[in-house]
Amino acid sequence: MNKRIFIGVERPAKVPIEINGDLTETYLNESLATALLAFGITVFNRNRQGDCRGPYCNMGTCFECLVGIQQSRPGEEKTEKAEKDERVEKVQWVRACMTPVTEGLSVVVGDSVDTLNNSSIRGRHGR
Amino acid sequence: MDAELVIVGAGPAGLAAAEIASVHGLNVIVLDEQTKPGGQIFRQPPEGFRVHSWMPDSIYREGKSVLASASTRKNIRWLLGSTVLGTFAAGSNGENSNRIKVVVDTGVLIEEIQTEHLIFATGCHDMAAAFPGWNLPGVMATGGIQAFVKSQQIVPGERFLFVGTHPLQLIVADQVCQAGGHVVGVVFAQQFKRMLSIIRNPFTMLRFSGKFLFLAKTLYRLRNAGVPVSFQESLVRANGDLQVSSIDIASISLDGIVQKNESRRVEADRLGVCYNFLVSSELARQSGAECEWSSQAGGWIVRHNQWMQSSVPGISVAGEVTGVAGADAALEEGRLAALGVLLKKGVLGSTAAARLAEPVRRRLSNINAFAGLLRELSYPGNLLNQLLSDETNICKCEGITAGDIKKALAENSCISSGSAVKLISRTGMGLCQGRYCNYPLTKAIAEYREASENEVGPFTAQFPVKPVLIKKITHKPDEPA
Repeated sequence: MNKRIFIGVERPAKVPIEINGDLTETYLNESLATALLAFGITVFNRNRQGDCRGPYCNMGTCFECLVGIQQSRPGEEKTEKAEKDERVEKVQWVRACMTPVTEGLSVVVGDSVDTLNNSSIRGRHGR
Repeated sequence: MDAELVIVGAGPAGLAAAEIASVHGLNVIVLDEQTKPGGQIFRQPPEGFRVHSWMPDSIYREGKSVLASASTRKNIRWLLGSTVLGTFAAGSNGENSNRIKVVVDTGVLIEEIQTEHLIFATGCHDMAAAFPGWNLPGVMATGGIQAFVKSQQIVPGERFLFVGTHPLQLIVADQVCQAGGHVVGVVFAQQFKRMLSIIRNPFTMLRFSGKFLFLAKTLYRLRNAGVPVSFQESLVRANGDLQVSSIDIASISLDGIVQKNESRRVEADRLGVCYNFLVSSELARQSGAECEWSSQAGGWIVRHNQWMQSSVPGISVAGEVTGVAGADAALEEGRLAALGVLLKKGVLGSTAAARLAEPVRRRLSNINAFAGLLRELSYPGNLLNQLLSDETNICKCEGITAGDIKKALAENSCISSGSAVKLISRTGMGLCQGRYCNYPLTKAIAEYREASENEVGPFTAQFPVKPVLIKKITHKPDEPA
């Protein structure tokens, strides 16, 4: 497992975040890549070729650690289909290594996010 | 927004330049993609973290002190978490003709900064070796692993193996061990004898004793921790289904050939790849600055004069972008670049500037002597070529293989430039914009066409140099974001 270093390190309070719909909590301001690795997630996405990818450079250069951030719209009621469409539409791809954890962040990540990935990236760029 | 001096990059070069310029009264804007200054070498823990003993070794003392002093200067404005997308001339022939427009993605909006003086201190990134399995999750740049440990304060894996040619892998392996991680090996391609031959000269040893002492301490701690350090071996492939689970390692013969058929398998869930570094010259190139090729110093390095000024009026460069030489050289080059700007602005006269620059140049020349040794020691030569198979991705973003490139070159005898191969094959058109494939592609074309790398040329660097949401570009300032 990935291990956070605790000796000699003080962290801010934990805040709630959502990973693939599951509510959990992690430290405010650590990078999203760190939070995901700490939860044991190494595969962050499948790219357009269908290959699994995860963090490589950890400095914003390689774009291998892309994950989807869902733009939540609290208070809006949606049918199940409309909500699914909304999720596909409103996912914004970010570099997990460059994205600090904030309260309520909702992230889509893992080797099963290829459908989302394909619909939002492959569909637009074409191949 | 405007500033007397804009500095892109808050690493050692950018910090040192900002400090000198601000001490002489200039209003400075420093931009960086990270949320805190320091660059990659002094990558700070996130906001709200407190790390009691952060980078304690004495070799980091000067850099940390520049970071601390620049951070308290009143006339430096920090635009952090900001990505510079490119620069343009602000006007033509009119009164704005000397001004440069810097286009920045601040996270929410696109902003423009105007200035007459710009320093690109954009640093470098790890060279990615392309070998079968190099794109598997769990295979990482060694610098990336280090940033997780020193900045994020996490050991990002279970069993670590480091493979490469650069001594950085000893330092990172040591940091992982000290943080409680398990390192199963550090593998160098060089012969131990060759590494020793460089330090055997007692004069060299004496001159750079601090660095050698630091490395010796690192090696000693690794040995004590029971980490096997081996020489004259190379990786052959990384294996795994969804992520890396083992790595095949083979010995290298005396004439430099990787003995792929006699490999041993090492179980590990993280592989740190550590060959060399590539300069991040995309912004300088997009701005029109002339570059030249250096295999050892990081690919397309930016040309400059003795005041670190590039071929484009108003644009200077400092640090790794002029050729990878480490943080100490970057600090001195940052100082020189700032003195150059002060001279050009008339804040300093030529005598004063020369007097202030003299000790900087003296230190820089000494540091460069060490950097030259390190480059010679770490350069993987034709080793990485041997790791490629026709099915190996050269361009990881678009999935273009070494075989695809050979085919494109064979079928199109008239193309020989990097940009032409990019257009015909899509190599370098993906999200990273050619940052990892440009180096191996340049070498591959040069070899195939029996041309020099400078004849092949770099990919044309285009605005925006990093991907940006199109809605940010099309957004009008009077509308809500």
